[in-house]
Amino acid sequence: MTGYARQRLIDPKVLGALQNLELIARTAVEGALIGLHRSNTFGFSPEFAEYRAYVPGDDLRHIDWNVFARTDRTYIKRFFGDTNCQLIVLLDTSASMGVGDPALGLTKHDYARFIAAALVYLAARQHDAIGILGFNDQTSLYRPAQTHAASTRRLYHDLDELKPGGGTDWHHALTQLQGLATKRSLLVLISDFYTDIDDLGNVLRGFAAQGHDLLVIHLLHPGEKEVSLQTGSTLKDVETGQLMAVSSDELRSDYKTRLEEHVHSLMRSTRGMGGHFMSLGTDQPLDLMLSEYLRFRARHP
Amino acid sequence: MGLTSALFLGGLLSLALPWLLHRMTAHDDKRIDVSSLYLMRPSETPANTVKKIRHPWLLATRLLLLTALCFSYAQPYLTDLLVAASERKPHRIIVIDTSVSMGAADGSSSLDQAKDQALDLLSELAVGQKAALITAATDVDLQTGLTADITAVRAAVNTIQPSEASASMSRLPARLTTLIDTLVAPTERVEVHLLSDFQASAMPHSFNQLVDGARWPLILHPVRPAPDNWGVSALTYQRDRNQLDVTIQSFAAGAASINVDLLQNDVRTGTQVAELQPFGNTLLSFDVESLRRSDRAWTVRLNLDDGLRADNVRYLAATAALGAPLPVFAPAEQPFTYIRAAVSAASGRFEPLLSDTLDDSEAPVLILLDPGVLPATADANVRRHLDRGGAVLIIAGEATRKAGRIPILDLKIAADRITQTRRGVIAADRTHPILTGFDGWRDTSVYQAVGVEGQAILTLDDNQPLLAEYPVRAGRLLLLTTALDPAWSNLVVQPGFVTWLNNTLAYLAEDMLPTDALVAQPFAIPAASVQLLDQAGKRVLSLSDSVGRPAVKVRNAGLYELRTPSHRRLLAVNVDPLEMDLRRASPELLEKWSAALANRASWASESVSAARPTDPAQTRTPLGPWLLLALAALVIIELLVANGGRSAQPSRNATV
Repeated sequence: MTGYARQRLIDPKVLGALQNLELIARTAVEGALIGLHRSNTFGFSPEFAEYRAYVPGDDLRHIDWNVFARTDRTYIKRFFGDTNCQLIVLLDTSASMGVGDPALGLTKHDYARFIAAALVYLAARQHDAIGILGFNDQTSLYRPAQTHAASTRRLYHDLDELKPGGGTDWHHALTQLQGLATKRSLLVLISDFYTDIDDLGNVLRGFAAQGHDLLVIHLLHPGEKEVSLQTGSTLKDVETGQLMAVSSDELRSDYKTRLEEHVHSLMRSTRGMGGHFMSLGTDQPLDLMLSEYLRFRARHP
Repeated sequence: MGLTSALFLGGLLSLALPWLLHRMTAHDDKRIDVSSLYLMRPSETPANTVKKIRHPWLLATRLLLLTALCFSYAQPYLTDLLVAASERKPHRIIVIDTSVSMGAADGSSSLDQAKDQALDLLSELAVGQKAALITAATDVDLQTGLTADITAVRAAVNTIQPSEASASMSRLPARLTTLIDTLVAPTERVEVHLLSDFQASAMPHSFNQLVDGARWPLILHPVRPAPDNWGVSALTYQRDRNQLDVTIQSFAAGAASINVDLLQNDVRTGTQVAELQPFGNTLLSFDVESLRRSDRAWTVRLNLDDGLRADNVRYLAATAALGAPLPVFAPAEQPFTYIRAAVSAASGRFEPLLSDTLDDSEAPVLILLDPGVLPATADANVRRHLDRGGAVLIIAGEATRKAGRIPILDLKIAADRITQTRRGVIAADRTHPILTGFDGWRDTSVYQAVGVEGQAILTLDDNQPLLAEYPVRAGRLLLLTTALDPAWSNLVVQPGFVTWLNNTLAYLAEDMLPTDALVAQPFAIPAASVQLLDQAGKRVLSLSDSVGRPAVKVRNAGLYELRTPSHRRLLAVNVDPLEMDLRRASPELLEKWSAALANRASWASESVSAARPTDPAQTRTPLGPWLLLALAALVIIELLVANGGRSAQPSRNATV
């Protein structure tokens, strides 16, 4: 597959047309992993466990040919299947995530589900346990961490069924998260984070102190970074229904500054507690996120 | 006047008038949904004045009034669609089972009975009713489209011949629905008549597969019960004992004694007597010659005249024995160790032997392991081998790199493309048979490789081929550009190395060609170019079926010969043994099936089915009076709404 074709496959617009969340995840992850062959940083070698004499019926692919070449005897190489790693995805499903760029045809909610599905696929591939907590002002999805193939399929189905709506209640979500993260976990937070960063940081700091590793993924669609407004328009908050008349000059200058400060504040807060921060646009290919995640995963085995 | 009348369409334009009048005092109110106002600040000097259309209810009433007025001029009516459609008789789709078992004869064959029943069904059709003919065995084939020319359908029924394909009732209604949907217009009704022996062995395990996807009423017409039958259900060649095991199955209530002949090249080489028990299996064993280097085919025939003759003959083709020599030219010892270990662990089909001259004229594949500069004798022998249509695998290495040239291919190794950086595989031709079951290329890391041009099967991420295929003279040559050495690549320590090497040798030796198949069932022929000949030497495949690793179907049982540019392989094609059991499915099952599908709706689309009623004037209900009533009501509402607006006016003026 050429580089161009790979890039096309992990383009969110192309993935959005696939209509099958498992296929989207597989396409994105496999596309990204083939791209990673250039690098020698990553690998998925499971941990070696023992040698055992070959008996008829064993898979020939597991014979260690180095040993055969030295000893003229066939041995099977066995590996540990599980890595004991637990990954928990905290997915914002509030109404604000349902907003997207009409030109892209993709909402932040769609993009967040693609990320979550890709993480589910990666976790299944690495035998990691994965749990998902979807939330708005209530809990919209609660799945404790499991490793079974059946639970993986159920997660794809659950993610497929998730619809954006309602407000955002971070305190409620993080209280629920306490019940999920019973042992040391990788916590992946996916949201647009329209909330008070100091308040959020205070709560997240508690998780960091408990030994959890944090990966914060901040999502924006292109229209949020560059708001263009015609004269005579009124903005409506999709979560609260509140209306506000805003001047186009204000949007061009002050809003952009406040948005940058908000993102920097979130990044500083995350890094201050030892976490990893990523700010993504819904027009960016998924392999960027996956590469970051794999680096993060490699540093937190 | 109709809905396309110019007056009606012109009248509709008058709807714009009240809209424009109301619009004159209105302003846009644009609201933009945003994720959050958290980072927004309100404008200190709001520039927007929101104004809406005045009196929207009055506008709506006036628009409705004008619309109703326009429609009343068009004199619309409703047609009683269902009444018109239900008065027409459904067309008949005749489906005849043409599988092997329908050739069973007890006097006349089951197929002849089915044809007689089909002709009776056609003779019952009234004037204007149409019919279509479909045959069903492994495939569902349309014989005539839906036509009122019943004579043509009758002629088609009379020309139906029994096939040697097997029948399966699994999802048959769904397959029929797909086909019938292409024949039937939305306004037509049809019913499907299925004429078959309804073998129990053709029934699916799940009842759902008999009804899923069915959209048309299905009426079952079973032909009369089947006669006794015996047949050869299996032939097995026991390579270690040089025996041919023949399994004969009885589907008869009485015992029988049958002569069984073994034929090779149409010459009888053995005869035995089989004592058959009622509804039981009997196993006979014939001693045959050992197979070493050539393929062989046998025919087993029962000498009896029973209900079904097609299953009294069965064919078997066997490939040559294990341990075919695999000459390997290997100046260094270590790569040969890898080859020897992998080949012996995989299948035992080949026996690797070191050879300096490569002079084995019968070996299907030669391997050159890092040959460097090939000695003249070996070079000549390899070229002669390729001239004969043989195959060669060359694996590069240090000596080849130093020689600067790939032998046989006479390809110069690009000096500037010998790199020593770690690379992975970026692209793979996954349709190639070598990569079947081998996905170890994903984890393959290559540290050293020689750079050459070629048709790549595996491509490294610097766009150099890792594995490439070259047609050379009448033969084929595969080149692996890295060595069987962990210092060059991790291929040899990959778990999939054995699978890859086994696939490669099978591909080069064309050992992947099939030796057996069932009539009318598709099977793949993994060769770039192939021809299939029957015993009379006649070509079976069309040109399009013979290139590009095709999947083909054979319509008649027998022995065939598959020919590729370099190899010949015997192919035995047999009827499906399931067809031997002529017993009919239980009456309860057929009754349940019939009841489930008999009441399906018989027309394509109820809502559209009577778009063209037989007598339009009789089925019309005029809407004019109802529209006049609606007009009167709307006038009253308009007056009320308008006067309501006026009555509010004085009070507002009073406050001013």
